[in-house]
Amino acid sequence: MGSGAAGGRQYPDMEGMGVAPGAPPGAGVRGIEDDAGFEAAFREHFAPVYRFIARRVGPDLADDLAADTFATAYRRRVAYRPDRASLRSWLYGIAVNLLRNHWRAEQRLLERDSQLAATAATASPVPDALSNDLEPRLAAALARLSREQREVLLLHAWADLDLHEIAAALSIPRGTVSSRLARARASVRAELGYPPHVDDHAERNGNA
Amino acid sequence: MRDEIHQLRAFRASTPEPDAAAWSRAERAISEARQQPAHRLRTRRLSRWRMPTWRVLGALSALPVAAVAALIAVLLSSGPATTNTDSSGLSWSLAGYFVPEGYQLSTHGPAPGPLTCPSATTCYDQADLVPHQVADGRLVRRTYQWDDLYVSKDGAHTWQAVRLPDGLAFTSRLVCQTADTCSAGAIDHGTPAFTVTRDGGRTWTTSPLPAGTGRITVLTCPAATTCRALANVGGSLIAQHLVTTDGGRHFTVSSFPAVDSISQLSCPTVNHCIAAGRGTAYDISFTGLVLVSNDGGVTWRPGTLPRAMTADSPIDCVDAEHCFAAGLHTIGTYHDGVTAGITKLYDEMLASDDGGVTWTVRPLSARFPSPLIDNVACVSASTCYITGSDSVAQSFDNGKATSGGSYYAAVTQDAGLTWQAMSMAEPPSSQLQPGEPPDVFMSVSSLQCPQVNVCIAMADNVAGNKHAAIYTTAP
Repeated sequence: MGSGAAGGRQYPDMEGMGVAPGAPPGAGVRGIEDDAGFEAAFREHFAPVYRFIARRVGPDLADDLAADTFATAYRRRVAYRPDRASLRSWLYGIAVNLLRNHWRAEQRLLERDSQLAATAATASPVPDALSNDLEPRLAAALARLSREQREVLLLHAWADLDLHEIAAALSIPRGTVSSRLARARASVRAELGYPPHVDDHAERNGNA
Repeated sequence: MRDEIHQLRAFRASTPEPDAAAWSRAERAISEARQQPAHRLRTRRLSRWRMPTWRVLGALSALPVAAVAALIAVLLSSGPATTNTDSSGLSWSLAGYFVPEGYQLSTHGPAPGPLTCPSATTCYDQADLVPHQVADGRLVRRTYQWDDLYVSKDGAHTWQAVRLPDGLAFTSRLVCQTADTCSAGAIDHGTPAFTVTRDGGRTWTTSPLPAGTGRITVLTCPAATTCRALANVGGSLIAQHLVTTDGGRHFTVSSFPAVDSISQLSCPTVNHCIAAGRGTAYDISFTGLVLVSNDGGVTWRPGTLPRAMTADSPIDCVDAEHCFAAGLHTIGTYHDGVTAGITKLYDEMLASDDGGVTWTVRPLSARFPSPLIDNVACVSASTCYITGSDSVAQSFDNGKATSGGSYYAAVTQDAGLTWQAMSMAEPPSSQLQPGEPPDVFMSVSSLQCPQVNVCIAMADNVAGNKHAAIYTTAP
């Protein structure tokens, strides 16, 4: 996923936000209680959060949910505790909470993808790219996960959060994150026909 | 070997970056939030199923897109920094949860929608709202459908899913003549339709609407086989008036005279109907308008609303004379040629004692500062229950956060002349999200009063508590 919004994007109407077009990302490390700090955070994190949401429920809903995520973050900015959670984990936590109200949309998208007729097996031109017949299987695997397991897995795989950040985002113990992630990965591996993981040590340490 | 994480990262990796519209949407949302002085933006819940019946949404829908942001941003200034706790001894008890453990925690539960309780024991909940955004070239409008139905036969304590026919979804709230006989506007495999069940939802008889008819958004059935409805074609705000006298097998379609923004319809009798909306579909001045017909919709005459008020919320008539509605009170509007909005707005209870011809304000704002009314349910000409929010700010999170208002529940027993606050028990297993105000469990999304002294409410704050709690006033 992209790491920022400033990479060549033209800001359509940022005057009202007080953000200088082309300003570099990264200023979000400071507090977000003041408007300038929040704007910097928005500039840095909006695109990845949007893409995370869009991957889960599609671009149509992503427009609204990503906007709601940052509007909610703005309203709650005084409640953000930098000592408890990274800013991005806090933002993803808000996004995940909003996404829970649309889990059926996500489920439908996964079920639709899982039902895509597997076309004739064709060699992928890029070794790491998904082959046509793998995508439905992955969608099916995700569709069969519990919501809790799916949240943890996708925060890890798509939002690149480590276990500590996922725990902070979801307000659950780190051990719970670890067990959910392990079960989710095992379930997906089984769905894809991969052998069971022999060592989940990396997962326990949050760097799988 | 690439593992499942790498495969997952490739899955849907082609998802596009946010486009200019997505950025603009977010920037507007933040700007709107910025204009609120406190923690919580005091809007009606612009989410899920509550939207279809709300006049503020209607206002948003009726404005150019550029005006929406300005409008959302107006609302109310915060009041004194105290918590609204007066309950006057009247209370709602917690009956249970729509889905055990809460829908947000359940992988199989629905997102709850509007309640319809034809009796003290039987309730239906249309769930799983799916919004559709359409535009007619000038305006953006959302239409809705509910894909699922749940039924309770024990006063909303427990719920069971009802299997709907394949391809059938609801486009209006259910209207029930008996505990088992209910009707609704519907979509049947994409075609606007009318559907009715006579066995509590087990089977449905669905009839397509006449060609050229839009989806039914509002339905009222004053008799067993007579129903009237509002329908809208595509993104149009121009409402069609539909009538059936044979239980939905056939409909006739007509239009309202010189008024094209009718959004509410209530018919306490077969021939007596009240319609409400705004002056024109593209009206930005929020001119309220009410029409009354005594001949089954053949002719309409204008009613009288208090100055600067609209009544385009659901109209609740307890008999042919006594009707109630939440009225939107606007104080000042602006229009700079591009954007338009209201500088301040709040709700007041409106009441009519002459069948909707004349309406007067019942001063809710004297009890709850700058109130917004989310639900109205009247059980007699004198007794109504309401829920909503006011501008009484709350300080919480060790004083580090402040809400923009408080939720309230209230009852009047003198037709709205005075109001008493009601308390709601916080669900014992409530798990508020960090930073949420402590009263989010009182955020009632649906309210029904099937008989005097028996009301049922569903509280399902979308951003806070994890339980869709069911409250009841029944002993």
